[in-house]
Amino acid sequence: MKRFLCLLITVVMLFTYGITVAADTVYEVKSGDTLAKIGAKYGVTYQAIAQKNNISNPHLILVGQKLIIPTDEKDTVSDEKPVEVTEPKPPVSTKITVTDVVGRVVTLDKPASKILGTHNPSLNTGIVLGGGDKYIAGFGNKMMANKLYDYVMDDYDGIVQIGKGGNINFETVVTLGKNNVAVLPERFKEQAEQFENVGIKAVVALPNTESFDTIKNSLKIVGAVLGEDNKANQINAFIDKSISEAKQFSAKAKTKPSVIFLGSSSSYSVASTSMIQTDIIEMAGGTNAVKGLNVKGAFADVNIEQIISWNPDIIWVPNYATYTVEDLLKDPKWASIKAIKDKAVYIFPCDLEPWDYPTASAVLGLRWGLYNLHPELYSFNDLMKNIDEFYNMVYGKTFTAAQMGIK
Amino acid sequence: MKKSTYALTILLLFALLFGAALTGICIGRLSTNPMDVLNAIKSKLGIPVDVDEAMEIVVFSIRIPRVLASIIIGAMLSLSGAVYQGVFRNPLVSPDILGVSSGASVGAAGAIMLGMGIAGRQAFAFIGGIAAVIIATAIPKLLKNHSNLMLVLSGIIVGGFLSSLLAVMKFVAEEQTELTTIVFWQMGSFSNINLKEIFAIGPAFFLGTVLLIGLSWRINILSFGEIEAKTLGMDVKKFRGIIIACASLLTAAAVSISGTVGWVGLVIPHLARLIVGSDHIKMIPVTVLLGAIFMCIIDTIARALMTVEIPLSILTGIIGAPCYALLLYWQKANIS
Amino acid sequence: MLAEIKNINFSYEEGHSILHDISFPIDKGQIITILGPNGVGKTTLLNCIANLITPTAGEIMLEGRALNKMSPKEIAMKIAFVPQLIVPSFSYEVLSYVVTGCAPRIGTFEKPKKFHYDIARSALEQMGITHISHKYYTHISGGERQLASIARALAQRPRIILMDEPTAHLDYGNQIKVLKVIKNIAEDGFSAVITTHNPDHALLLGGKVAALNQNGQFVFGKTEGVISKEFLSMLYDTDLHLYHISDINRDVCIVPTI
Repeated sequence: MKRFLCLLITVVMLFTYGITVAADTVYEVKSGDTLAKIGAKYGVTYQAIAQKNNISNPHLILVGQKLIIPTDEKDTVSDEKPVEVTEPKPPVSTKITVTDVVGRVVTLDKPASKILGTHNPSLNTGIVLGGGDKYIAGFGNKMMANKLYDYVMDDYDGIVQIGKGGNINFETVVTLGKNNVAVLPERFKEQAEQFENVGIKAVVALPNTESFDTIKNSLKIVGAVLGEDNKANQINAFIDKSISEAKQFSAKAKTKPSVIFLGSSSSYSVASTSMIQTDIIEMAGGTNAVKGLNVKGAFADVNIEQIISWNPDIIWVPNYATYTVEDLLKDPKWASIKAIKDKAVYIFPCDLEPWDYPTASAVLGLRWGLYNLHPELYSFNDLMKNIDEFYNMVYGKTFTAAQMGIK
Repeated sequence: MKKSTYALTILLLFALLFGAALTGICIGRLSTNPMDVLNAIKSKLGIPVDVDEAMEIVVFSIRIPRVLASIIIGAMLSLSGAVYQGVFRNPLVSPDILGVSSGASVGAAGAIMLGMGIAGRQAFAFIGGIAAVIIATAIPKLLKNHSNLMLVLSGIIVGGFLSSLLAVMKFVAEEQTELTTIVFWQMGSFSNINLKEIFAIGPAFFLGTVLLIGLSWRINILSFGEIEAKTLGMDVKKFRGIIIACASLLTAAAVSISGTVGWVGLVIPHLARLIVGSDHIKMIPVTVLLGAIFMCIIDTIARALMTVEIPLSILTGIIGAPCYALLLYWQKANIS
Repeated sequence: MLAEIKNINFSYEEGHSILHDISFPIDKGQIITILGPNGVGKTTLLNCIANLITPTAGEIMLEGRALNKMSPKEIAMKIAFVPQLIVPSFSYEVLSYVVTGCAPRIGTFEKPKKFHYDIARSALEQMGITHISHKYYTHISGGERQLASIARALAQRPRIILMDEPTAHLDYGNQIKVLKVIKNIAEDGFSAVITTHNPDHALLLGGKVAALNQNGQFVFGKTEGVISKEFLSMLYDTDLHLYHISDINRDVCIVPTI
């Protein structure tokens, strides 16, 4: 009897719970609503709402009409490429619509004042688009790129910390003003709903898989959000130019060295193929020594035997690594590796900010990689010229090779 | 304790609870001016008033749900702690004795690694917690030893195993994303609370609390020990089973929302005993109220002290552990 | 006959048989003292009567019903058990402690009502310890605790009170006090079955004696009839003497010399 009671209670709990969670949301159309607006509010496409409610003409909805909002995000992301949503009335010039990387359609009445979040690469989009802290309202962990940010921001220390990682103080977010937009990475996409709960729009700008395409797309999205489309296009043009130049140069290269990009906390971890490091290596005219390693996300732990078997020609160590190049050169376990024997172990730049993150400055990482692998084709002077060109365009400043730690 | 003194104590505690809740609603990063809160409420009711619309969002979407959640969770955790202490005849027992927190952590970690959202995490955490208790209570049945000691040992085994399982999951978890999320979940926070989650645990809260308050005198008898309880006519297995089931339900439901929060279930019952004595008829209502007040204050600090969220278990540990030491010091005269 | 113990056997799992074919009746208002050396099964026998353990053979009848067919609640309304040693984990007021004796008559979700507290108070009065009603259980002496336990048994309003070595941890004065109380409650109509190490207590209490010896032999009968010098010496494997003292008109048990 007792066991039955317990089972019954548990089942009732789960059932009640399931009901409150799974119940469909019903929305009553108000004056001035459009399906796109409603869709943006709930994070689903207008096509999905139309489909769910059997609406043949998505422009025709009536005030007081009750719409069932589909709850499963997966079946609302349309298979077509993200399209611009058309409004029933002629579009007002300041309205902005973006589709983020998880298919959410976000509409803004006017460009956002600033962006905020806890994911530094995501926030970096706003920093490069604003040439400083102009567009940054709230930060998470201030660790990354402090040196550069000190140079280019007026009040780096004064930016408010809103939380860490997935743990955000939403009231602090509200204190920062209502015209801000949260910029999130794909891994924190479910925070979007909570930001919207407190009246702050959210865009997911960076997906989990990194590439130059995703970097360019993130700049485009945040550029649209901030009304800095021109700057975004400018930076993306530079990235495109860099990629095509790198392709041209590496086509001319006689050899393609194999390169391994190590992790930050341990020399026994390597960057997996879903990270920007892989794009950099291949576009700079090298091959990624890491074969057959497709771990989702960031760095993968391997052991020394595996690295020895890969026997890379060149080893790149992140600038923010907890171990040094000397550690590797002196370690007897590594001695047989070609890169160690040739002393071809380099610190990936730069000292001011990491060029191996999925941010705009990854393009500088690409250029440095090209210089490092094929200095005969792309000289140090050429490299510095292009670096200056980039930083001038973005921040209106340039930095010396010493400051950046480039040799 | 005289009846009139007790009634006064309960009244005072209700007043404190009301005060803590009101204070919680009036304190936050946006504004600590009660007039702003009043205006926000007026505005929501449709009365035209000049107030920042952000205030309305903050009061109704952030502060009120969090105050409500912290009160309920504080009540649930302290009540289950008190009841476990009574059943296991040991004032050193915390609600995790049967592995509920470990089970909930494993459930939540699983949900996080499967990429589920907050609702999924809550469900899995709840299921994990309940599963842990079911396994812990099944072991004595298998070994045909129904003593309290056996149950405690089973809880240790199950809790230990699940902690190791959690460690494996953390090891396998993706470092940048899943691992940090799991760690943050474990540290406890109400930052992601919304009314839907509170409603989901509402039934567990009411059922568990009502049943346990109803059985509070029986817990007195259980606390004498199995022999005496049996010779006083109580079906020890049945009552112990119901009480443990209720307490586990409360703990699992609480942890599924807030993450693992320590010390509340351990310290608050002691404080209650210090104020009104060990008679569970008196002590259990006091425990419930004290736990609610405590958690409400803790959450207010968690979200208002700094711009970032301070995880709950950090605060309950920093405040709870020294308080516990103090309580033991005051109580040393009573410990035989 | 209130209760009857019929041919009960008890062995622990290792196969070692403790009780063998024990039978005796318990009558209303009767005192039965269980005597015997250490380890012979006195407490085991008492635990069987209290239904804390089940005999491996035989049965115990209570008012015509088999004990093992009754629920703990039904048994508790008729039989009260005062254990030898109580280690409290929480400190309750003595009154709160004694009122738990009313448990068999209180519903699952109920709390004791005023008249239950009245029963508890009168039990305390009967034991002469009303003055400690509101003291904490952990703050009273061992003797007072024992008296409180007996008071709780009285509050249970049983027919039979079982006591496991009720004088074991008491000073001499308190021992006598407790024996007096047992005699009084028997006169009030309760039956009492107690185990004791002191044969003189059996002589003081009168009533009947149930004796177990190391060989598993069991003797039951009126105290005066069973207890003799030879019997006691055999039971305790010691030279014990029995003397009749005419001044007080009773037999006493004495060790001649050590």
